[in-house]
Amino acid sequence: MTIPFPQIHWAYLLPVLLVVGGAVFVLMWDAFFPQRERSFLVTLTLAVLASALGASLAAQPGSEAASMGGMYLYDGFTRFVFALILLSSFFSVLLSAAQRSLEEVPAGDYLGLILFATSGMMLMAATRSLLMVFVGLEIFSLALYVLAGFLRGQPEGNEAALKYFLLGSFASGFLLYGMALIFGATGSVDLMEIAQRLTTSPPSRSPAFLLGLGFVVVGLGFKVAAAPFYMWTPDVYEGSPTAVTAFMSVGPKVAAFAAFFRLLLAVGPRAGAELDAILWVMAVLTMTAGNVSAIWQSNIKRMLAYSSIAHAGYILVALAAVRRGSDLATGSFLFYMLVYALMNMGAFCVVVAAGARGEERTRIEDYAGLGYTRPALAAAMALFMVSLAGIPPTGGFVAKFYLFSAAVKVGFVWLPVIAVLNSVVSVSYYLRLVVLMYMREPGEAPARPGLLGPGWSYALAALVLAAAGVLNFGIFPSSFFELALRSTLLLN
Amino acid sequence: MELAFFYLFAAGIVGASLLMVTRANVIHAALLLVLAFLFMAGLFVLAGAEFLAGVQILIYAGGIMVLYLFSIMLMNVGVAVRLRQWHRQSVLALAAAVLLGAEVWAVLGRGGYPGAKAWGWGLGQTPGNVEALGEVLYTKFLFPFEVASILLLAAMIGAIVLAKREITR
Repeated sequence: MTIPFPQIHWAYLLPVLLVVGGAVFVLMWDAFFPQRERSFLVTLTLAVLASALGASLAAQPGSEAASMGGMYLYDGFTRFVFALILLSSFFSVLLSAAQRSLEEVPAGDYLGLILFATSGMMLMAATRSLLMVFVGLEIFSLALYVLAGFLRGQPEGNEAALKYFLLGSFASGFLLYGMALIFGATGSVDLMEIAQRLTTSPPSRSPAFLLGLGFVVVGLGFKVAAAPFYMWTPDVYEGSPTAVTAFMSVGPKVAAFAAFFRLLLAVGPRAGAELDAILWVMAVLTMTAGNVSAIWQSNIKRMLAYSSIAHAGYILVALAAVRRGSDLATGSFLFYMLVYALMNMGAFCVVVAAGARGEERTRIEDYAGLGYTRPALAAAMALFMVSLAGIPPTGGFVAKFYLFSAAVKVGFVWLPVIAVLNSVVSVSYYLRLVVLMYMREPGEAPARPGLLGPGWSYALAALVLAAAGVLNFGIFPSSFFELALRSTLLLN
Repeated sequence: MELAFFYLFAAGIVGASLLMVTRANVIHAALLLVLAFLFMAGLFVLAGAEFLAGVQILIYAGGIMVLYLFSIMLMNVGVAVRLRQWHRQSVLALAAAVLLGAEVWAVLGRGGYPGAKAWGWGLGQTPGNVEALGEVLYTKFLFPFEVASILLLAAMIGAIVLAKREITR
């Protein structure tokens, strides 16, 4: 028996290979040359991520998008999602290098795990096969469980890691069980084949398929922190090192939402009429729970955690629109994720940069009077808060506008209305921080904390990059939005 | 004959599982779980899934059981025997079991797995379960098979990171 070698487009696979190879290389380098400077490994990791970004931008998706029978899919959507994931990893490496409490950790292990997590996210987003979705999800989940508890001396970190691990494995179980049921009902794990079989025959009505679809929604809903599966988020975000929290709030969400979009694009219009109500309720619950809970928080990381839940709710609005066959919704999702990545990373970067050597500034009260002690930092934070709240002329406003108008175009009335009302609620807690920074006298802050540490250049780079992006997408959004829309052209 | 063996194995699974959840001693429960796994492997053989039967014994009865026994040994077994077993959750557990039973009945009784009947399981024409599995693993599912090694590598490194730092501090 001869086994044919599968057809592989190496140029398309190159971004993933670079990241995986980089992870192994970083680990090996740290094992053989442990005495080298930490900044060398950080630079190397940044270079790996930048070259992977370059490779994915250079590889023009053509007609032969699917390699290995759809296991690896490189289309415009993949390309844009790769850019998002690599961007968020790039930022989190910058933040990790800037964070004072991460100075003592073994850099090779830490950076290696970040790169492994990145590769998992990329593989999860770039596939048509449910099997690869699961394998990619497990790769980044396992790496993130460890990263969450990387500061072992801190009990909060251990709690976060354990909680994330237990609930995460439970959710993975749901996802896998659901995939198995879908396979049983349709005889395939390939989304395109599943979609074809749904049109030709009625397995869409079989209980096995519907149950499987429901379980998959639960599993993915956990990973994107959608209500009612978001309970873990605040504790895990609070206990993890801030740079890891920043990574968790963007990277896994991009990957899991990308898989969610692919699933709904394939099976949604044919089989998921029941999903309409589920997505509607999930979106409303998620954004309301996130925004209302965020108001009462006194810890800035918890507040940002609830804010990220609320933003997942806004994206679920786009998912509901995709279910109804909106082309615009996928493009506005990509654009929203781009802006969200920048503003969220920027906000976490301010939290990192404001921290002193011994302690981090995690209480919201700690930010009182920051506008007088650290004017530049406070100005950056104000910009990110205004953008997260969705006020012009920032990227957050434009992104929300595109997202909600996509929902309006497919006939949703109440969903966008509730989303806009939620944005109004969210202004209260975002602007509370701005008011606190500028209208209150500074408390007994440390004399010259934070930024003068060895990692200040990394924090500065991240801040400038994020702020420039948020402003640019707010004032000149059209070219990037066009790009996001064009990325979704060859989908289906 | 086949039916007789099916009932034998099925009764074995049910009996071993019932005994397992009612034992006070966790070691006894763990060993009864091995018994249940072995009967289940027998069921897989009857269904023509030899590979699954072998994996069931190797991974579950072998690997995972050893893991269970290790974690039981790390706890204090003597204390666990004297603790209350049910935490007043027996009603809840019964309700969950009934719900699961209804679910299985709904899926298998009504419609079953239509895709499996209509399109086959995606396996090749090769006779024999193990050969067919090997063939699709190295052709159709080559990419996930290889990517799974990244998963194992990441998991291994994560475990080492957690354990290593425990020792140095």
